[in-house]
Amino acid sequence: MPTFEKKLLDLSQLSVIITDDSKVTAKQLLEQSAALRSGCSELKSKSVAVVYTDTISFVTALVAFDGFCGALYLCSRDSIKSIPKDVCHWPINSKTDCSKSTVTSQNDGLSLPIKTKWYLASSGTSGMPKWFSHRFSDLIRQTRISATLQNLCWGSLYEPHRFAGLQVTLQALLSGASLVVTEKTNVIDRVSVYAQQNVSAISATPSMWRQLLMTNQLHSLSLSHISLGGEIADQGIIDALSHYFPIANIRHIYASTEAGVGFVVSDKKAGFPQSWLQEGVNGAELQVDGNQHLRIKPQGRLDKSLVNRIDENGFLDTEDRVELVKGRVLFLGRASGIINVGGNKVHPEKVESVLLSVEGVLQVRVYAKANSVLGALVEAEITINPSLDWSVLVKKIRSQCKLKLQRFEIPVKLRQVTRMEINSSGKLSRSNINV
Amino acid sequence: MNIEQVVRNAMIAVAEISDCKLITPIEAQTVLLESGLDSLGYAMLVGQLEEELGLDPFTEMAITIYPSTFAEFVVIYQQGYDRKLA
Repeated sequence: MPTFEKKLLDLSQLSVIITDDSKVTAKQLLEQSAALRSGCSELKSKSVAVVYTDTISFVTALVAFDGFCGALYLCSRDSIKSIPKDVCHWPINSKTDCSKSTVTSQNDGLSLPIKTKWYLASSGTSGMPKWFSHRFSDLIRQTRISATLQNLCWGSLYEPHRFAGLQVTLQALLSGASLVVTEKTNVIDRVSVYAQQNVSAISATPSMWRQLLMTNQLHSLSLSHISLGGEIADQGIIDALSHYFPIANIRHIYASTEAGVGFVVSDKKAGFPQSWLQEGVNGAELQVDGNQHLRIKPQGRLDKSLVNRIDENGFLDTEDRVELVKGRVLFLGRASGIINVGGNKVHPEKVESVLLSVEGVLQVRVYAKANSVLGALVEAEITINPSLDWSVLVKKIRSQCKLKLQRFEIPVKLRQVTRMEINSSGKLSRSNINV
Repeated sequence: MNIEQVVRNAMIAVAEISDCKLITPIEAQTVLLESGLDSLGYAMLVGQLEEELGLDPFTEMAITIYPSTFAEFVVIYQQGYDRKLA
C-alpha cells in the first residue's frame, strides 16, 4: 500500500518546495515529517484535522500522518468549524484533547502503515462544507511521472487543503518537480516571483488566468504546461492562453471533489469530445442522462455518503449540466442552482434567507448572472412591502448582507420587481436566466 | 457618448458597492490590478458596463490581449461601442 512518505522517498533527491524565504527538499520534508510523527504519538490511529497555516508545515504533516492516522481532514481555518467533534486538531492547541478521540483505523493501529482516509471539503447545500473521503491511491491516480514533468517548476495559486491545490502539490512532489509557493497576494507580485524562480507550469481557475493575463507580465514567463480547473473553461480563455503560449501544453481539468479525480482535456477546445461518452477516458466511464446531467463512473471508490446519487450501474450524478454541440460535450453549469463565482460556490438558498430576514422584504429570487471575468455573479430580484421606500430598504439589505455573507455571496444587483414568477410546482423559479 | 467618463463613473459606483477603495487619480497608465478594484470589483465593473452600454467586449470580441491599464480598458470598450453602432 503506497503512502505519501513511501512515494516521496523515491524522489528525495529531486523534489523541492520553494517559498518566499526558503527552499525545502523532499529529503528535508521526510526528515521533518519523521520528527513530527515521533513527537505526536497520541495521534496514532486517530482522526486528525490538519489545519493549513503554510504549505511547508501542511505538507510535512500530510507526509507524517498518512499511514499513521486513521483519517486526515484537510482544513482551512474556516472549514475546521464543520468537522466532527471527536477529531483531533493539528497543529495541537490547548483545546485539543485526543484522549477522548475515537480510534478510527481499521486495524486499531497495531501495525503501520494503516489505511488512512483523506477527507476533503466540498460545499454542501446549506453552505456548510461537506466532507468526502478518498484514499491516497485515488488521489494520485492522475499523477504523471516522466523526464519532462520532472524538470517542471510549478507555480501554485491554490492552497493545498483544496482539491485542486492538493493535486498540484502531489503532481509536483511525486514527479520530482519543483513547487513554488508564495505568500504574496498581489497577482503582479506573484508573477514576478514566478518569473524569478523560472516557473514553467501553472494550474489555476479560468478566473485566476484572466487576472494573470491582465498583469501584462505573462510574457516574462516561459510556460510549457498550463492547467485550468475549478470552473468552466470557455473557448475564449483557452484561445487567449494559446495566443500567449502557442506551444504550451494547455489542459483543462474536470475534477469533482466528490468523485475524486475526473479527466483532462488537452485539445485546446472547450468541453470534451462526445466520443468519450462511448469510449470513456482514463478508466472513467461517462454518460449524459435524460436531464442533461453528466454522470461519471470513476475507477476509484466513491464515498458511501453519495449513495443517493449513484445509479444501479455505479454512475454518479455529478449534477453538472451539459449540452452536446457539434461533437463536443459542453458544460453549462450546476443543476442544483449553485452559483460558481470565480471558483467560490454560492448557495442561492443561503443568500435568499439572509435577504428575507430584512423586515419589509416579501419575496426574493437569487440567481446567477453570467460574467466574463468570474464566470458568474450573484443577483437578486426582490418584492417589498409597497408602503416602504426601496432606496432605504436597499441600504438595510446591503448592511445585513455584509454582516451575514461573504463578499462573493452578496448580490451585486438588487432588482425590485412587483411580483415573482412561480413555476408549475408552486415554487419560485430560480433558473439561471443568463448563464 | 464619452466612454471614458462612463467607465470612470462605473468604477466609482462599483467601488462603493464592493467595498473597494479606488486609488486617486485614475490615470491612463494606471494598472487596473492596482486601481483598488479586486477581481470581484473588476467583474462587477464589467457587469455594470454591460448594463449601461449593452455590451461585454470580453465575450463579444475575440480578445486575446487582455487590457492591463485603464487606457487599454477604455479603448476596448470604445472599439466595442463603435462596432455596435456601426
